[in-house]
Amino acid sequence: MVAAMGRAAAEEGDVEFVDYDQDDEDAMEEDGRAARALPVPRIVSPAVVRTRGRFAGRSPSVLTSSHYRFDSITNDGDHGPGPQRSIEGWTILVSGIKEDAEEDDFYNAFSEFGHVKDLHLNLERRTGYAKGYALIEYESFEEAQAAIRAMNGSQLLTKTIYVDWAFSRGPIQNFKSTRPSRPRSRTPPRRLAALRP
Amino acid sequence: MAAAGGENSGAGEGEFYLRYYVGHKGKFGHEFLEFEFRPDGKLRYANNSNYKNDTMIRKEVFVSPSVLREARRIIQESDIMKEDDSNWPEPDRIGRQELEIVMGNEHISFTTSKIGSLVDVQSSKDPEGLRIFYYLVQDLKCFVFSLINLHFKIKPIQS
Repeated sequence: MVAAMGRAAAEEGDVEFVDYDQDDEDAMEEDGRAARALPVPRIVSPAVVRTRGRFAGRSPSVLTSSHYRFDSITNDGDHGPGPQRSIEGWTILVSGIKEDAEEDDFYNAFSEFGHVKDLHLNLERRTGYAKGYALIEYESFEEAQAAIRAMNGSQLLTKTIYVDWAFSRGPIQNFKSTRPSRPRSRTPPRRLAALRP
Repeated sequence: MAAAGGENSGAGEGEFYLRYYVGHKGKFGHEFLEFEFRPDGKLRYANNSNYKNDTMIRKEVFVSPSVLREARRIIQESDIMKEDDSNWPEPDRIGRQELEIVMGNEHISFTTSKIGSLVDVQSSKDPEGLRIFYYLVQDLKCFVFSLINLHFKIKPIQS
């Protein structure tokens, strides 16, 4: 099920909002940036955004994503939008959870829709109380879908909870454009070389 | 999908990007953990430990709008966007952390050393701000580890 997919084609899309800095040679040498895994997209238009922090403008965009393969899980034969299958089942997110909720509350409520294979009710590190979300895994799509339909917007421990799929097959549609309004800087030569067939 | 959420308008809309990095260079090379949420929902995760074997784990998956919204809520409620890293410990030989977040019209790009425990926080020049960072990072890691663990059934290695 896990396939190291040839990401080259998909990554071309990323290039849309990735803007590579060329002024980062210092940072590269001092921090060994050459081993960094994630290129940082410049998604901020400096004109409208207030930036703070010592690291601002030094985003280490050393490695292009086309150099690396990121493993992902593929859906068999189905390429439309919709929820993405996890390696051993279907994962849903419950949000809006009350801080004093406990695992039993969820296990019982969500077992009505099928066998709960895995349940993470994560705690806030500072307080030790529930952070406000849970992730639940079912074996089948139908069980997960039934849980979403029945429980989304329902009351659990006097609080309204929201239930939805955790993973999607593709990018979020209509997400706010993150293209910078200023002209993009020229693609570095090594980058350009990588893009050429 | 649209059904879930909308409960927190402050964390709901607008630009969003999150990247966290922690790592160091030592006798096992460059060991690090890094993850990011992109505005289109792509969650990327990379974990490199050269100890004993030489493999880097790299995973990516698209998360739903609800998951992105939850990440925003966690950040929003932490008040990290009001902090500043100017008085935090500088990254050193022991290691470096980076936290970059874009939310609405705010962009933070913080860096500091590794924080071993609350003792380090307490003895710093900005214990209040650093404490917010310290707990937020743990809560974000916890969220991402759960997502990656459930989706791929792998256990992250702590850098």
